Amino acid sequence: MKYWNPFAETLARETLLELEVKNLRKILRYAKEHSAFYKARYKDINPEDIRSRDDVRNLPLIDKEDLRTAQEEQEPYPFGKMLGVPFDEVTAFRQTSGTTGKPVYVPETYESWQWRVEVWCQLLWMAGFRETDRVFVPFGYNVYVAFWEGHYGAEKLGCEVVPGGALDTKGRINKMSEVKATALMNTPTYGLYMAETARKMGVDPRKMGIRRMLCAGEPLPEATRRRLEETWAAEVYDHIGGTEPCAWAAMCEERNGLHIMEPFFLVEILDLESLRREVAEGELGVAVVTPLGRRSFPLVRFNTKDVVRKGSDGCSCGRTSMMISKVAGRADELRKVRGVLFTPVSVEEVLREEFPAIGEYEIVVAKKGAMDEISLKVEPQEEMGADMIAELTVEITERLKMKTNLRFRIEFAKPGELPRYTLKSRRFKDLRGE
Amino acid sequence: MKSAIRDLDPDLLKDMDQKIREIERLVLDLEEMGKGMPVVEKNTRSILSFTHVLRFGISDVAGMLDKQGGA
Repeated sequence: MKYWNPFAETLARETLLELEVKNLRKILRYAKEHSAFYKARYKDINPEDIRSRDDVRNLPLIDKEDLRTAQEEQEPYPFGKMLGVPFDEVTAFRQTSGTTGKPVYVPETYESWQWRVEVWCQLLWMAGFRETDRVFVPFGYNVYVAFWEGHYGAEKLGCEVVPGGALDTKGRINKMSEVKATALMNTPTYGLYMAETARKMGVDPRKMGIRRMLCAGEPLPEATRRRLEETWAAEVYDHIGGTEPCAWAAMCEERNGLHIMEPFFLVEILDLESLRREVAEGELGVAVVTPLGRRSFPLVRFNTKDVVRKGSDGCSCGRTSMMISKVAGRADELRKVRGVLFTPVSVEEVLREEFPAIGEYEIVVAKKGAMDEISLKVEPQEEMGADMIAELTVEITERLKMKTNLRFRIEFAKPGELPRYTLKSRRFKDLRGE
Repeated sequence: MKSAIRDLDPDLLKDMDQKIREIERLVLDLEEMGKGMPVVEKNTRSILSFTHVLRFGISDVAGMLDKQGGA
């Protein structure tokens, strides 16, 4: 069977939209009755008045800061006013990474967890994971949700899952070889790092038998995705999501953009300035996500701050869900540097696409006198002579100038000098506020 | 885009919805019978989590198509 849920995944577009609005009314009704946050925030809103997507846009947006405020020093600890079920029904604790401030604590019941796992089943099925796969997950999952979801989703659809926590990277390479893993779930950064480590161990990652890889935790520019495919001789799939809403868009077997995971979510892509207008196909916008079947932690119109380019409705795979053609980065990573709007993903795109000799990199924006200075430290995969470094410095500077309209100060690090990240990478530092 | 659901049998969807409701009813009966027994209470709760997922993926879709008079 090509589809996980052939009825839902190929539903006529207008029916799909109608179903989502109906389910949004249902979750809103539920949230108003069961969550102190929504009782207050939506006290003047009647869910029955929401009849169309246009009506949905009249509802208030919520963001991470709202969630933090609703949890801080509020009972029941630590979920506070966001909790949508009796406290004794909570069966799992998850939290956000805290990259942008205090972590948000996310409660799951057995039911809400199964709903999340179901989202992941469909996502993994779209990426070709099947009962015959032996999936290696090279992480200790800790309190972070993504790999727990991946683990349970893969297990439910019948894969054999091998958890690879509590090992170092060499140990993981050995374990993957020993068990003859056929699939991986990892961050893009760690996928590249594992390959680098394998080669140092005399193991060719292309010959390890990995057929597919699902990336999580970081943006995956197309150039990086292709580099990973080349590096591992595997199909590499992307998805986007977060701890609060779950994974809400993912690649199908065509690997050409991401499908919104409809009808699990109602997703709006809104213009960057006003957040009031749904953007047209080809335009950039911010994704606002409403998970439609999860009651433990209801989210209505959650501003993910993920900046994406809207694609078409439907795909040659036959699924009728709305597409995202590109994940452009995070709204909170969009910066004005010398008056120019800049996103770090654009640097990654240039380096991965055009400079295969470069492995790691780090971007720093700082004040130099009254001026902004943007610098890029790049690390070659192998030792390089001075002539080569000088040549690459000129080329990278020119290509980045063309791509970003900014002049970077380029510096070369020694191979192995820059930090390696296993979970979220932190390759961008803006020191201007410090 | 033309919906591929036209090639799928809408009656099948309706029948599956019916079965999901039956399962849910049976499990709720069992839960009531086994009140106070963790072995029954906890396992019926787990089953109801799965019927919640099936309701979402199957019954809700069946409801939409039924409202429109089939696929």
